[in-house]
Amino acid sequence: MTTTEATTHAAEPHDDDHMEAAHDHHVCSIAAFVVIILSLLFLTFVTVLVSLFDFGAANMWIAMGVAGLKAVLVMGVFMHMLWDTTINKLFFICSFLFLGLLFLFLFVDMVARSDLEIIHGRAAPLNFKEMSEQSAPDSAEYKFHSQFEGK
Amino acid sequence: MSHAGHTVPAPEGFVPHVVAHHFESQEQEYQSAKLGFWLFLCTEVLLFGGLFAAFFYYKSMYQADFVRGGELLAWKMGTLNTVILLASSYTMAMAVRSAQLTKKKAMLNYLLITLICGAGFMVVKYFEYTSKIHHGFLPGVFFVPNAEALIEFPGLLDFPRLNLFFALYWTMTGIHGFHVLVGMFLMVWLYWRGKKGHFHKGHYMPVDLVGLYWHLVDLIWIFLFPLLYLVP
Repeated sequence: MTTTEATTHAAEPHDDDHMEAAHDHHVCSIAAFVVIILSLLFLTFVTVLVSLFDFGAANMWIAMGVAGLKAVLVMGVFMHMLWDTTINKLFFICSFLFLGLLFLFLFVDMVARSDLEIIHGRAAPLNFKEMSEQSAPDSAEYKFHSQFEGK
Repeated sequence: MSHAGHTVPAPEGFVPHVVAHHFESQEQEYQSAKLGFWLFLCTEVLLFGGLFAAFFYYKSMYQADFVRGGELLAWKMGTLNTVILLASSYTMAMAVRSAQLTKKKAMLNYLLITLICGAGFMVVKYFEYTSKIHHGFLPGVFFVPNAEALIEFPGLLDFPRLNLFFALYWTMTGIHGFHVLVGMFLMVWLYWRGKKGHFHKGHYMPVDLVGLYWHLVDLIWIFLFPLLYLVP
């Protein structure tokens, strides 16, 4: 039963359109692939070379910047994103944006903490009890919170 | 509406593809699969991204320890692995292209080379890992540098957070290595199906999708390598 249905369908001109649709997908040229792989190998060489010198705080940015450039080449050409549908590009790029959000909030958290300064040996830990005693010993909030001291 | 999907005619000597019955057309099937796979790749980005975030956080907390840790890693082996993976990405892209043009023999050859590159990566990884184990550079509580390591790398005990560095090193490279192994298995699967004539210009979707996966594995390594190995 299945075979007869399949052969009936195969006879329909409908199917030729589907074959055509598959043909319409972009086929990358060998030249494009060769250019990209050579660029990637060159950028790898650059990454290793640059790491031998110390640019201070810029080290991380340079390394990640070159890596980002390599990533764009791999995503655009090898992964065919340049010729892909908009929605696929949108989804994949959005995942990096969400990752950026993760990094952003992490960074904000790190900057706002005092324990980073302790570890780097720059400051004593913040003493919130002392700070609030100095600022508002008569405030209702201080009186409220001092109930819980020592617990 | 029939229960079976319609068949896409295949070139001479190849197996025709049957489009799953719930799709209106082959193009819809192809685009659905592709979108689904890109979404999966997004989850992979977030998986490794989380690990990268952890690495950045602890690197800023314990800068000296992480610099020392990076110096203990074999950057030459890391560079070799980078070159191997980049080459494998090229051969994978060529395999997809060959499938698109119904060049069966070329596709199979490229798949084989990609598989060999993946194996090469794991071999280099094996040497790297055994060296770390030999020195006692294990993750977390298991980080106990042995006498040989203490002689070879003087002053290791001055850096109390090296165990944290190596916890991140083992986790990140380990999960990545696992992804390479999965990729190698997928390569074998593609080769086996390709040999039977399943892939041609009318149906090359599985090769395309495995290609996307393999490129992602390469992409992750592109970021992992400078971060862990190349200490300025």
